[in-house]
Amino acid sequence: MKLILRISALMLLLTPAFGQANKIKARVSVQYNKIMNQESFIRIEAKYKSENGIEPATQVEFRVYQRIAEDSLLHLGTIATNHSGIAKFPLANHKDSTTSLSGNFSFVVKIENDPKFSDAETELTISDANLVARLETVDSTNQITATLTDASGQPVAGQSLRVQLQRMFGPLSIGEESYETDENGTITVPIEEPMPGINGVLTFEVVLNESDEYGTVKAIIDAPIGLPVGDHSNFDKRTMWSPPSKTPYYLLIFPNLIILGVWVPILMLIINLFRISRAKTDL
Amino acid sequence: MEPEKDNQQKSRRNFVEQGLKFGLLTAASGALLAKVFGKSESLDSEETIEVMSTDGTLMQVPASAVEHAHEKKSDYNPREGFPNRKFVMVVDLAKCRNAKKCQSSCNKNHYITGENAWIKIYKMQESEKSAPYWQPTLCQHCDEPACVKVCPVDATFKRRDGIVLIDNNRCIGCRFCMAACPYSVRVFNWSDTWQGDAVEQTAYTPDYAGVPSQKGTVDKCDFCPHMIDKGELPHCVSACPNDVFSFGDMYEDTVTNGSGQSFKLSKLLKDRAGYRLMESLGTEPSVYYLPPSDRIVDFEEGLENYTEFQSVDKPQEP
Amino acid sequence: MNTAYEKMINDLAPKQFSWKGNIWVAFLVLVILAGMYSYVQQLKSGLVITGMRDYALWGIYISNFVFFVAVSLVGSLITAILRLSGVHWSTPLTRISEIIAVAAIIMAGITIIIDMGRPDRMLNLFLHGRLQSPILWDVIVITTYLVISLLLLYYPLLPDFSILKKHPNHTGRLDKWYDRLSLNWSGNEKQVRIHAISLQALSIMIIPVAFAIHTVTAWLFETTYRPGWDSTNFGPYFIAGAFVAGSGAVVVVMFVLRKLYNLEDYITDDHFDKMGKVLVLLCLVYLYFNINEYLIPTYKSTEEEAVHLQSLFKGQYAGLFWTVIIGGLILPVIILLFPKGRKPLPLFMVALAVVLGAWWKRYLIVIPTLSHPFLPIEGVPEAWRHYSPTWMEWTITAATLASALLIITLLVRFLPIIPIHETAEERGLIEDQSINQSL
Repeated sequence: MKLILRISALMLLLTPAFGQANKIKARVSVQYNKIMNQESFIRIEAKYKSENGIEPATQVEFRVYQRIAEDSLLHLGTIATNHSGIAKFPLANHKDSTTSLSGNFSFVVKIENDPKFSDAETELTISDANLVARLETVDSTNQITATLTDASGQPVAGQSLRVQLQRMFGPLSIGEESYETDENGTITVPIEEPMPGINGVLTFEVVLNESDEYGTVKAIIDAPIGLPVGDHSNFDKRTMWSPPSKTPYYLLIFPNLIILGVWVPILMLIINLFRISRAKTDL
Repeated sequence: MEPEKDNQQKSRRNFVEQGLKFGLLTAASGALLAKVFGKSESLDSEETIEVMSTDGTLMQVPASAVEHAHEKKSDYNPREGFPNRKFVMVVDLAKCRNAKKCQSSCNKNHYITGENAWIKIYKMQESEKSAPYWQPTLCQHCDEPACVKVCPVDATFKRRDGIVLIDNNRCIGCRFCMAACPYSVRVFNWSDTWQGDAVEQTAYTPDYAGVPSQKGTVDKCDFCPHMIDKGELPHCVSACPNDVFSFGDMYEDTVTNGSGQSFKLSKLLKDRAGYRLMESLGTEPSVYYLPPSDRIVDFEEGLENYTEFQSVDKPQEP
Repeated sequence: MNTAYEKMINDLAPKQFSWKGNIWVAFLVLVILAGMYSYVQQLKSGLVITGMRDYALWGIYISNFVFFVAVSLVGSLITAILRLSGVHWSTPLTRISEIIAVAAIIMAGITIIIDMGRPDRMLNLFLHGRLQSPILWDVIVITTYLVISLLLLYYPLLPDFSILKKHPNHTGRLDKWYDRLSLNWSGNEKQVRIHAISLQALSIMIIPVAFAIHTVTAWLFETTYRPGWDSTNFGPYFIAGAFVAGSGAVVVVMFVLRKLYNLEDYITDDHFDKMGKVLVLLCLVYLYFNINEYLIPTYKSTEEEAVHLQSLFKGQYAGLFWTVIIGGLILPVIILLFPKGRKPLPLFMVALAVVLGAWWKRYLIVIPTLSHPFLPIEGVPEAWRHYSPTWMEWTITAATLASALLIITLLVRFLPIIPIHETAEERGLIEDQSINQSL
C-alpha cells in the first residue's frame, strides 16, 4: 500500500516531466538588433526538426524578460512567432525617443507551457554600440565612411562590417565581403559602380552582423547618387498586345473602314428588300 | 388601302410576337447555361474546413487554424501591376539537379489539381554531342507576348511591371493563347476540380492564379504577385534547395535567390553569359538562363528524380 | 398559256417528301440528338469529355470548323464569280451552291462555339473584344459572310416565290409563306431595277468577303510560331482548298437531287461535264499550293519542320496523309482529265472522295502540328502524346455535319432547287420580265 502511494506520488510529481517528454524541443536563436535612429528589437527565430526536415516553429509564444539583477527578471512582454517562425519583439523606438538602452544589458527569452514545444530559456547579454555612417564625395568618387563606437563613445576596432544596398527582395552587397574597422573604429568603402534607385536615391546599409558583444547594429544612409529609374515598359503604348483601349491606330481605322464599307451596302441591300416590297404593282 | 394597313399591322404584331418568343427562349437558355456553369454551392462548414495537405489529400481542419495567406496588402490595380518595377527571373542551369522542389512548391501553393504542372523541368540536349542538362521551364512573361496578342477577349494581359496574367473570370476557353505560346507553358482546366473549402470559398483575383481555378479556362505561372506584394520571393525561388532561381526588379538591376543572396543582374548576365529561350522568335522573354557550364552537380544525379509522365503529385489513395 | 413554262414550274416546284425523305430526316435528327446528348455532357463536365489535352489543344472540332468555312466558299464561286463572268450554264446550280454555302457557314459559327471552354461568356467577345486578335476578325467576317450569303440566297428567290405562291401543287400554309416572302414581287420595272442592281452588288461584294473569311481562318494558324502552321502560304492555300471542297460538295448534292427529283432536263450531263472541268482545274490549283506547302520545306528541312514533315510523309500520320493526297487530290485529277471521268456517276464518286479527303485534310492541318511543340512533351501522362477523339467528340462532330445536311434538306424541301425564274428567262420561256398574271 505504501509502495503504491509512493509510486503514485512520484508519478504525480513527474507528470509535468512526462508532459514535457512528449513535447518537441525547439531550436531557438535570439538576436539583438539595433537600427540606428530607428528602432531596436529582439529577433527570435524558432525551428524544429521534423520528418520533413527543419521547419519553422509557428505560433509559439515567447516571454521576454530583462535581467534587472542577479535573480530578478522584469517581464517586458510576450510575443508569438509568425508563419515563418520569426518574432520581432520591439524594445525601443528611437524616432519617438522612448527609453533606449545603453551600457550593458541582458535579456532572457523563454518558452513556457507551450502545447507543442518543451520549455526553453535563452539568455542574451549585449553591450550597446553606435554606428554612424556618412556619404562623402572625394575626388568625384562617392564613398561611405562608417564609425563604430561603444557605449562610452570609444571607437571599436577590429570588427567586421558589411556594406549593402537595400533592394526589393533582399540587400545587395557592395564592395568586399567585409571591411574591418581600423583603430578609429572606421571603415571607408568606395562606391564605384553606378546603381539605379527609385527617385535617384540609393539606400545603403552598413551592418555589424551578429557580433557576440554588440548584437546586430545597422546604420542606414539615403544617398542621392542613384541612376534614376524610369518606366521603360510599353504598357502605355499602342501595341499588338495592348488591351482594347490601346489598339494600334491602323487597326482601329482600316478594319473599321472595311467593315463600314461592307455593312453600309449590306444595310442598303436589306433596305432594298423593303423597297421592292413597297414597289408592288397595284391591282 | 385598308387591307394593306391591316396586313402591315399583322406582320408587325407577328414580328413582335416572334421577337418576344425568341427573347424568352434566349433568356431561358442563358439562365440554364449559367446554372450548368455556376459552381455548386459548397456545404456549410461550421467548425471544420476542408483543406488540401502538402501531398494533395483533402482533410478536415478547424476553420480557425486556416490562415488566408493571400489577403491583399497593398491597394494596386491587378491589371496594371506594381509601379516602377519590371520583374525578371534568372535560372542557373549549372546548379539544377532536377530536385523538383520548385515544382512541388508551386503545385502546392497554387493548389494545382490537374495533370500538368505550371513549371516543368525538361531533360534537354541541344545536339548529340552537346551536354544534357535540366531546364526548369515556366511562363517567360514575354515583353512581346504572342499569347496576349491573340486573346480575343482581353482575358490575358501584360502589366506595366512585366507580369503576364490571366483573368479567369473573362476567359472564354478558346485556347488560342495556348496554340500561340511557343514555350508550351499554358495549361487548360479541362474539368472542374475540388481544391478544398478554403480555396473554393476564396474570392478569385487574377494576381493569385488558380485560386480557385475555373473549368474551361487557361492557367499558367503568375510570377506570384501575391508573394511580391508581401516583399517575398515567388515560391519556386524560395523552395529550390540549390539556389537555381533568382528573382528581382530589372530597374533595380538586382536579383535575389532563395537563400537571400542578391546579385547585380547586368553583371550576372554578363559574367555568366545569360541567354533567353527561343530568342529568335522575338518574344522578348523576362526569364534569363545561365548556361550549364562548370556544373555544380552532374546531370546524371537528376535522373533519379525524373518522372517523364508526371509533374503533379496525385493524392495518396486511402 | 405557256405549257413549257408551266411544265417547268411543275418540275421545279418544291414537293413533299416521299418516305425516303422522311427516313433521311429522321436519321439526321437521330444523329443530332446523339450529338446534343454529348454536348450536354460537355457543358456539365467540361471539355474533359473530349480527347483533347494540353498539347493536342485543338482537335476535330476545329478541323471540322475549318471544313465548314471551306465548303461555305462555294456560294461565292458558283453564284457570284461564275455569274459575274457571264457564265450561264451554271445558273441551275446557283441555288444548290448557295444553300450549301448558307448551311455550311451557319454550322461553322455553331461549331466554333462548341469548341469554346466557356460558351456562357460569349458576350465577352463583344464587350471586351480585341481587334488585335485574329479570332475577332474571324467573328466579324463570318457574321458578314453569313448575312451576305443569306441575301444572295434570298434575292433570286423573290421571283420564284412569286411564281410558287400561285402554284396549285401544295397546301395552303406554304402558299401564305411564299406570298409573304415574295415581298409583293410582281416583276414590274422598278422592282426589277432594284433587284438587278442589288444582285450585282451582292455578287461583287461576296467575293472579297469570301476570300477574307478563309484567309482569316487560315490566319488562326499562320499567326502562331508552330512548324506546319508558320507558313506564308496558308491564306491562298486554304482558299484553293476551299474551292475544291465546295465544288465537290456541289457535285455530290446535285447528283443526289437530280436523281431524287428527276431533274435530268435541267441538270444535264453537260452540267456534270462542266463541273468536272471546274473541279479538275481547282484541284490542279490546289495541288500547286500543296507542292509549295510540303515540298519546299522538305528541301530546307529546318529542325522543327523536318520533324513535322517526317510525321506526315513517313511517320505517325503517313497513312492518312497519302490516302488524302492520292485519293482526295491526285486520283481525282487524273480521272477528271478524261471525259469519261466527268460523266455523272464517276464524277459523283470522285466528288465524294474529294469531300471526304477535304475533311481529313483539315484534320492533317490541325492535329499533327500540335504533336510536336518546340519543347519536349514531358511531365504529362503518356496518353497526352497521341490525340484520339472520344466517341462523344465524334457524335458532336457528326451532329454538326448532320445539322448541315438537315439545313440543306429542309431548304431543298421548301425552296425550288433550281431557280425557276432565271432558268425560264434563259430558255426564253418568258418574253419580258413580268410574269403573266393571268396564270
